[in-house]
Amino acid sequence: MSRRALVLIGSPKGQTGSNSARYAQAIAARLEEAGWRLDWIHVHEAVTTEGGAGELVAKVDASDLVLFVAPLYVDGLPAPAIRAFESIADARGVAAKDARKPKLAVLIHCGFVEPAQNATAIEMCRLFAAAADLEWFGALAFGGGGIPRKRGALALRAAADALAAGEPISEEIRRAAGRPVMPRWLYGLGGNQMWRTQAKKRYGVAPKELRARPYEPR
Amino acid sequence: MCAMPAKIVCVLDGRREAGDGQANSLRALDGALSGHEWRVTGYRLAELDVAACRGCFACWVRTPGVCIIDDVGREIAESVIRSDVLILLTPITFGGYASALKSAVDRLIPLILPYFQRIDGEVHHVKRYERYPSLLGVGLLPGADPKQEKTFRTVVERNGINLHAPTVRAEVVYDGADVPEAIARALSETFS
Repeated sequence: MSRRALVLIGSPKGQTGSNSARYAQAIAARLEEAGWRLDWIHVHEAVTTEGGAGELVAKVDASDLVLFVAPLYVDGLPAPAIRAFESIADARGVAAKDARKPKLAVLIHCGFVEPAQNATAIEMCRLFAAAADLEWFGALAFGGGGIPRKRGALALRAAADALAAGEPISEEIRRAAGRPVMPRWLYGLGGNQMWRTQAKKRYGVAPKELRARPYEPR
Repeated sequence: MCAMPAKIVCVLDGRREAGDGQANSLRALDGALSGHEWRVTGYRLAELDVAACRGCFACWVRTPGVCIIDDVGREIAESVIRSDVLILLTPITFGGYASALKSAVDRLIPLILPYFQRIDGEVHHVKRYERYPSLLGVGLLPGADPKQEKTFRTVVERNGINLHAPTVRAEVVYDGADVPEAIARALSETFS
């Protein structure tokens, strides 16, 4: 019988178009090659749809592996992801002690250049795994905003290979992914220009206007 | 002689249970602080249903400083930047904030700029405003839980960096303790 993986997309931007979806696709493609059956859930949708949370819990219960992919939001997980975790932990924390124990693997990415800024969010996922009676199966952290190239891409591939083979994401793979993709000064320079260009080109907002203070203290 | 103006405390209350218990608790906090020249603005988030941040960055590049979602999340961001102390009150949930509180916290990014700067060697976002509130994180737990407490203190500390809080304190309160009293004590010890 084929093994089942549940992919949880924690980005409010959804299952298409978000960086979370792109990271998840890279791992999911490898799992499918290895014969895994995949289900996908967008947690934002699950927690705002009638019956969505119940379906989420049922799919977690039926999985061998849960792969959670999310962006870093204000030093933690996006609110809908926490809401989903609350539902899963509430249901499994009381009912599932004798049930099967799915594994939880995690990938957190952020718009800062340092992958280490994801450490606290990953620790929250580890605490969630304990609360929901899931087996911790390792984590990856990426910085730099987009899908990694070179060293990061190799780490992503290594993580996908490990999961496809039923192995956890090792600390060695996590360390390989966890180095800044470029010098901080260069990232700041490029990033600041990117925001100015995006505001001007897409919305006609000038750099000076970007610094507006609509709630200036009285 | 003019009295010193009261300091403004904005409380984002992320406790799950709604209703009179919380209302009384916020009133109790108001009472506990009234003798100390604090003025409390409280939001019971379990009753407000703050929409989740969409991650669209419109608040940075399209409508600078204002979230594109027109709900109470906007009012909360405005109250926060106009306060002297921001209190994040929450049951500690997987070492962090409960979802109701995190929805409001995620909606605070209009208060900072998209631009990057280095703070203590790390990349963070630049201030939008001249001054920001100090930050007091108050986490509630049934009893001692060192792993969750450590993560909670780290999250509050890191939020303080990203939200440019001049002073930061994290307080963990166990079941049975007087929450308003613990907050009043922390305020008078650290933020007076």
